[in-house]
Amino acid sequence: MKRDHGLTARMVLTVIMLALAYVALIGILFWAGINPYLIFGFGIVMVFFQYFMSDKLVLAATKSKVVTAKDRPKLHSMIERLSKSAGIPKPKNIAIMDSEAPNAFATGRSPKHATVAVTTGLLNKLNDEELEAVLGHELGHVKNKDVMVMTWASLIIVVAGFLMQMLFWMSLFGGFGGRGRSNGGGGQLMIIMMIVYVSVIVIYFVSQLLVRALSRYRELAADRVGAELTGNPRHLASALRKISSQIALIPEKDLRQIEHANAFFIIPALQGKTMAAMMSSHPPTDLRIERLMNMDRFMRGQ
Amino acid sequence: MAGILSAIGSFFNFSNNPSPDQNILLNILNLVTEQNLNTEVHPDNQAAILISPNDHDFFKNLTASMNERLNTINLSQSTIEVIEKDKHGTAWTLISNDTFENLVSDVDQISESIFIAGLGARMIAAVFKGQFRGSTVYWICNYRTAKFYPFIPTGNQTRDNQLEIDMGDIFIGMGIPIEPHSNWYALWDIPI
Repeated sequence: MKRDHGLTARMVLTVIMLALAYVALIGILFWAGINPYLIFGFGIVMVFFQYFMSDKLVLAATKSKVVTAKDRPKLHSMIERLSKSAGIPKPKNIAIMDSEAPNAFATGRSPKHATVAVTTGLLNKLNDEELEAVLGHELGHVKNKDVMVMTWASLIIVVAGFLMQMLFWMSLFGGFGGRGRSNGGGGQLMIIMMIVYVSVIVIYFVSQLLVRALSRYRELAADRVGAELTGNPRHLASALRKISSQIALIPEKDLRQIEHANAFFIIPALQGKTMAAMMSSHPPTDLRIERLMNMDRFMRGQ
Repeated sequence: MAGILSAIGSFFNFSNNPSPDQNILLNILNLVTEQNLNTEVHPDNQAAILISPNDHDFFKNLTASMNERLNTINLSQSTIEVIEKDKHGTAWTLISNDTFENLVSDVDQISESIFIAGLGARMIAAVFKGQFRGSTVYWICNYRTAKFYPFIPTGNQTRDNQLEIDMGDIFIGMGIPIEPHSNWYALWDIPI
């Protein structure tokens, strides 16, 4: 299928901006005379731990139970078939989480060590085609090595977050120059530390936005892989609709009532939605469905 | 005709303003051009424009104002009727024509003429009537967002959401810009 150059370009741009955020953070630490190796070393250890333990941590946190092919033959055969189509090994673990909320996730540091889990709610709510489409999406994450990409992209958030906390506590206990006040250099040091503190806060929030944007793009990319694997984007669109209860989103109010209410607002309630969308790790379901239906249209040659 | 989009777009400052050479309302023509690909969708030849009047002179005698405006444009023999006020205080201009293509073109021209009169901010929606899987469907174009959505009332202020979603999928498949589900507001008692 045709590559989505727009999506690729947005991903590349986000990664470049993240790289600039890294450079800015390291630069500001050097400028302030703080050893960045120690701070980044701490972050790398944290992220390595998370990266290598992700499957075990997530399985434990969600209380998901690994199931064998004997326990769940249909689920196993679906994943095996899709994995073959995707050209990746069958995930090491296939798990089921006991939850009525329909959901699924993939984790693990590499395709060889991947875990794919689904909730009981998902198994109950979706038909076979829709379930296959959701599994295709999760295998899309595995194929695209999203756990690795997102874990390493998040390193800056871990580091900046750690620095933010450290500087906050330092400011409370006089670490911004208390020692230097007696010898006259305290004022300058305090200004430097305040600049570092504000810069780190800005870098932290900008990185959060960038990492979440990257996460949304990875979701769209996984949607594409899922749709390609099943050959029918409509099934994933249908599954997304069921999972997100799209029907529940349709308002009961009359358009004319809204129109009268809007007349009193200078700025529509769009801003809150935009901010929420920017902070979301997943793209809006409407957008995902729209893109899948466009893919469906393309696949059917219309 | 292309002028209406850029004019409405710049007036409302659409966040996702389509390019000026596209026309909002003409998107619905895809229903006709691709109709042979989808036998479940059948446009009727009736439409309506929903307006929110204010104390502007134009609305004091809307029928006369509309007739005056219609005389200045070249419509393709559409039948026009004006409902000056419904129970929500909004006004309707009802339009019917022998062909859907001419109907869309005339709705567009009338919309443009209302906009040129400086009343673009008072325009709420254009509504096209059709049939989908045996049910009456209204394709609503929200002027503020320049997007469409389906509305399928089933009587007594109820609607068929599942059928609307299926219709929405067909919109998307036809490249018609569609509202997010959270903006699929009802329009009860549409007079066409």
